Amino acid sequence: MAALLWLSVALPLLATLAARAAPLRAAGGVAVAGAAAAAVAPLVLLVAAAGGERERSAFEWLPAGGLEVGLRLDPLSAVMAATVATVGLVVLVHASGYFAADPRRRAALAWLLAFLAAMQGLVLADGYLALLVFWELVGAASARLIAHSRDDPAAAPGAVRAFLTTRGADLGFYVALLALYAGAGTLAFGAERPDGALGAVVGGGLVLAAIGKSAQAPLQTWLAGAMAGPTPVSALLHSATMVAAGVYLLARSHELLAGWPLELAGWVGALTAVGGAAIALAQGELKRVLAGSTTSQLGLMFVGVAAGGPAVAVFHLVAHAAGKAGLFLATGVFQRNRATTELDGLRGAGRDDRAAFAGFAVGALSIAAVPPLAAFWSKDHIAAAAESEPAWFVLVLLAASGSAAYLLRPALVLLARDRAHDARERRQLGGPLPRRGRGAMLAALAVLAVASLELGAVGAPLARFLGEAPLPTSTLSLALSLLALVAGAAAVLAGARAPAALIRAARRQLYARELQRALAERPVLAAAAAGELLETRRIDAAVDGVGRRALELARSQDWIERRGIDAAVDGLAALVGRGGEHSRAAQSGRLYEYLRDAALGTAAIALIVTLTALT
Amino acid sequence: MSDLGTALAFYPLAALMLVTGLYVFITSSMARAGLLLLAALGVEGLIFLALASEFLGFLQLLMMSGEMVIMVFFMVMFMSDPGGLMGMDMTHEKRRSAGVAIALAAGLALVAVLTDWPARVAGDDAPDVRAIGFEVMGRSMVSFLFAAMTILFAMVGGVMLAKQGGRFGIAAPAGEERGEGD
Amino acid sequence: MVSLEVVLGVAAALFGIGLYGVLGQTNAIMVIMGVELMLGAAMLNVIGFLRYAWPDGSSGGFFVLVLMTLMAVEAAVGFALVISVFRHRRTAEVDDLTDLSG
Repeated sequence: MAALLWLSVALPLLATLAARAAPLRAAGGVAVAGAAAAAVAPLVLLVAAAGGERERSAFEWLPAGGLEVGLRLDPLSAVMAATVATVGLVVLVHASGYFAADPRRRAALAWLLAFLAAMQGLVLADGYLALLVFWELVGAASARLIAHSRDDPAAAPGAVRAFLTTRGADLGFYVALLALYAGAGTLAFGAERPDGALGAVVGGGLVLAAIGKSAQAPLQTWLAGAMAGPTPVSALLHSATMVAAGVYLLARSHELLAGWPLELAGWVGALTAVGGAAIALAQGELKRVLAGSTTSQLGLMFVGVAAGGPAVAVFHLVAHAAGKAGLFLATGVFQRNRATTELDGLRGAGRDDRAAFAGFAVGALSIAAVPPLAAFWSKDHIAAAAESEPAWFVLVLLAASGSAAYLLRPALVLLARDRAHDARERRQLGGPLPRRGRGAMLAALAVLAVASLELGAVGAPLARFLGEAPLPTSTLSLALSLLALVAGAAAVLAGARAPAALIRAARRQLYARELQRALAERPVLAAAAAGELLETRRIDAAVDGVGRRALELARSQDWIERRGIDAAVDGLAALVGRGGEHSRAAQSGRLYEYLRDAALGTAAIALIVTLTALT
Repeated sequence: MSDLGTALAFYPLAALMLVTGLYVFITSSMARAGLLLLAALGVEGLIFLALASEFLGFLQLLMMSGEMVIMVFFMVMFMSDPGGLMGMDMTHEKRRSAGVAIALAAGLALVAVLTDWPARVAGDDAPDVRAIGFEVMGRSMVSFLFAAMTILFAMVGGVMLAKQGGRFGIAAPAGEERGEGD
Repeated sequence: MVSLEVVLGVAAALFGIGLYGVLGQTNAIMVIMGVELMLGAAMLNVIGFLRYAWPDGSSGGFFVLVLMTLMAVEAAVGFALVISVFRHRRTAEVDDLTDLSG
């Protein structure tokens, strides 16, 4: 059992190496085979967990401090692992077709598999430390995958923005863990939130990390930029799995975050649900519409955790994964057909490729919560759970109508009959749709469509499996949800237009980017400029001043040396020399002068003798 | 001699001696300088006689005469203007040397005057020849020997120095001969 | 009438004259003459002592003898030196013989 846990993480990693090393032609097949092999262990684990197996496998990282890194098997982790494995397999099948014409596909496939390994580690992690490790790995893989394209100028900036935003929010995670360890002495799941300030740091930090990872307001801008990555990446990471990690964190920490942190998460989720829907409505590019939709749906999941408990959120997570991934895969097919994802360029693409549109339609119906598809049931549970909080309830209903609207709009575009375009397209493409990789892409799409149709039944067993109360339902919420759905669809069909200011705001991501610039970028840059000023003016000046002083001191010393001491010494030497020259004159060689001096000396002696003799 | 006689003899002779001695160095003629020196030292001999040292006085007169004649020879040999007809000034630093000389003389005189000389011991006779002879042969024999040796060395050394070609008997270069014959 | 001091004074004067000659004359032979005068002054001193202080001092008389000898010897050697110098230098002027200068 422990071996299966570790295999769930290790097999995708091995598959990464295999895909990287495989010959170019077989890369797709190798990757799919690897993903299939890697999906076996989690499914077995799911079955085992359903049968009552629980397991923990860790290795002591810091025994004295009680820190360990390991994997666990329990209902929540088993469900998540199975979801990640199956969605991952499906997307990799799609990717083998999507990248069929890309000469660099080995790197992309390998990184997708690497991401799978990290994501499995994340959902199977035992304890917050292991969770954090895989959390960061997932972020790194995401950034690398977004930046795959070398031709698209938006790829690298998108990757950087994604990485920085999520990494910045992860600071909350780090700080929360520090506080948790300081307060509770352990980082294992089930720890109690400490009291007072430490507890506040724990709660706020974890919620912040979840907000960042799940692209909730005000940090939702990175998801739109991440759409510059390849479509399979968007399907796997940015709809089904990675962005759901925030929800998973909240679900896992349900007891730890009880109280005001969950309240905060719920409010954030509710507001983002509406905001994301508004943004999705205003976009002109299909993937950005889907990104806004993802943000909105994740907001609903936040509300679900806050209002109803982990099971509600996890159910919607699974249903949303199937539906959103399906939508993205269909987008990938359209992208290959029309070489663009702009709505203007996709006019009538649904007509030309009926199979792909079928898949798109199923996914859209699910996300829009049209019964009896999967997400209808899960969203209904969320709405019912939100009844306890009237404000949330209203916002959820607004988001519901919005989801209907923002998915109907592109669907209409796809089905549009544009005579001029039909003729143009026929002239350019000359007939049938591109064949390369199409089979794989459509096969994957079909699987997800089926899942969206069938997953509605999973709800109750899931709740039982997770050991919680049956999922809430209420007729009022049901009726109002359907009403909201119809209202939204009607609004789009009627061609209603929102106020221009609202559209402008939605286009600009509800000014979240400006907010970030004001709150984060400007202060940091100002602090950096101030620091630089301090450095150059004060510190550098001080250091230069010290240097200058030393130089002046040296110069004055040198002056003293030269003028004073040297002059004195030289003067003394000159004096001695002059004295010598003068005294040399006495030795003239003239004997009579010597005699004269001797005579004078004798006279002096005589005088002295006389005087002493007298006295 | 009696005091008076001594005085009568001494003072004039002393004055003469001093004057001639001075003139030795004032005159510009070499021959005259030599002869004046002879005069001065000869008069000194006479003073010896006046001071009752007969032997020594005569000895002085004897030696000086011979010596001075030789000196005149040398002067004629080595001086450019022995006759002094051209009036060449052979002195240098007259004032300074005069000053020094006067100072020293004054100092000596001062010593002489101020010293408390002992009174005359006994008798007023100067030593006569016999006493000196006994002295030489007796107590001062060693000194006499040394004096004799000194004379010998002086003679030999003088000859060596004066010899043409110096110590090693090497013939003098042509310039030297010319110089000598000048 | 004539006392020891007088004799000594005269001798001192003679000594001074001799010194004047030694210091003031340029020719070497004149210098030798000055030395002769100085020695003469010394002799006069001794004679004075003999006459007025120690008449029994026969060693004094011997001393005078020695002095006389000295005068002669010194003159002889001096002249020999002058000859030698004159041979090499063509001059007997004391001012030219300054080889011992510093």
